[in-house]
Amino acid sequence: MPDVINFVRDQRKRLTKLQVRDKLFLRYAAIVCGFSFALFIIVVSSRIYLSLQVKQLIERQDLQRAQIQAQESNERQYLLFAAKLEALSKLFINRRNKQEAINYFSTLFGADVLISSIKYDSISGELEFGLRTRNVFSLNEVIDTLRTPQVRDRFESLSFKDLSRTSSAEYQTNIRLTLK
Amino acid sequence: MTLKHTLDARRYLVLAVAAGVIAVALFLVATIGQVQAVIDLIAEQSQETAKLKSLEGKVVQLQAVTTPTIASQSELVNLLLPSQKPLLELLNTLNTVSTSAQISLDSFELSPGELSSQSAQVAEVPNVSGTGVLSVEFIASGTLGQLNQFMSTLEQTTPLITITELSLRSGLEQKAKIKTLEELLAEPYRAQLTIESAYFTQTVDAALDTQLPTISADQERILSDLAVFTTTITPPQTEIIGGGLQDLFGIQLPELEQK
Repeated sequence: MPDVINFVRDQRKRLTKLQVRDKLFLRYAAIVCGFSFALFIIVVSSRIYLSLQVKQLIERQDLQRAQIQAQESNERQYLLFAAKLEALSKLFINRRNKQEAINYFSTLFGADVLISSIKYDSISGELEFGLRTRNVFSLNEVIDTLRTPQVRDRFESLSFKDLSRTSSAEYQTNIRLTLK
Repeated sequence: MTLKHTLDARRYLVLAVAAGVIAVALFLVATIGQVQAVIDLIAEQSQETAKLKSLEGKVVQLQAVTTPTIASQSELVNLLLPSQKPLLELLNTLNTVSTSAQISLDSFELSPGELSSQSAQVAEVPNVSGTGVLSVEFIASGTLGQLNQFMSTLEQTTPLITITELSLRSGLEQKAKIKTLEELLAEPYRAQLTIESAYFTQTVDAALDTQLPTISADQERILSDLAVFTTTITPPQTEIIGGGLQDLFGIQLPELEQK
């Protein structure tokens, strides 16, 4: 018995097979489409949420700015205070170095030695002061004291100049040092 | 007929392709554009959050700086470093301190500058920008102890005064060759002094979004050092006293006027 060739049945079988595959593609495509849509919704929602957040932040900033503006005079006063304090601190460093040096030298020598002059140059930081001693022995003591390591270590740039003797037998000399 | 038949037979595939195209189009056209906007918004949000924190911090700082302690410190700093040439303040301080130390002052020399002229330009303090100096020279007379007291008090009184030059000489015409320490201390001396008083020349701008400057540990120490300063408050000059043509020298006494 010869085989029956049924083209219609074969065609239907082939079509059914293709439709099953197409349905699978459609399912995948639907999943991808759904995923893409969900992603779109998430992104759009995020954008709306973030926009609202930024808006709220800006509103809160405006409130804070209003509070700051209400205290503008206090702010100006404080800024002036801070700027003046900064300038004062720099001025104080210069002054403190000068005062410390003068206090140190005024207590270093005995009663026979008088600090007769002071010259302070705030530009170069040079401090020069004149010493007047009552006799040559006091002058020797002054020189010996100024040559001690304690004094030399503290004031490395210390130097003498203009040694002179007055008509009343007093001796004068000038000491120059540069303050750091 | 054939196309219609084919489309009918492969309708699921056509739908799948359409869904795929829609998915890709949705992703490429809408989602990617939105993602970029979201990324920008995230960056903006973090930026605005930082700005808000900064502003909140500034509000807290402003509440902290309005305390009475800061106000009194600010007042003292203003007295030490006034915003104008402290000529009257300086003269007032010299008067107060010299009276207290019982010394006499003479031979004043100062150059306060003229208004709206080249000489009115401020002499800046070296290394300290935004500050000017008013320099005054004078002679102070008194004993060594009095002069010492005067000079040490002067540098501890408002406005901020720095002695830059001192020249000391005996006030006696004839010197005795040998003196006791007591005689030396009682001897009158004349001190030629040059002093400098600093004042603030900088302009200060306040911006809403900038933070307030903080006070460093060194500045805190200086603020505590300022406690030893004696303040002299000079009332601000708001009117010119005198200047009228009548009774310029105060000759017309009330008794005379009644007659």
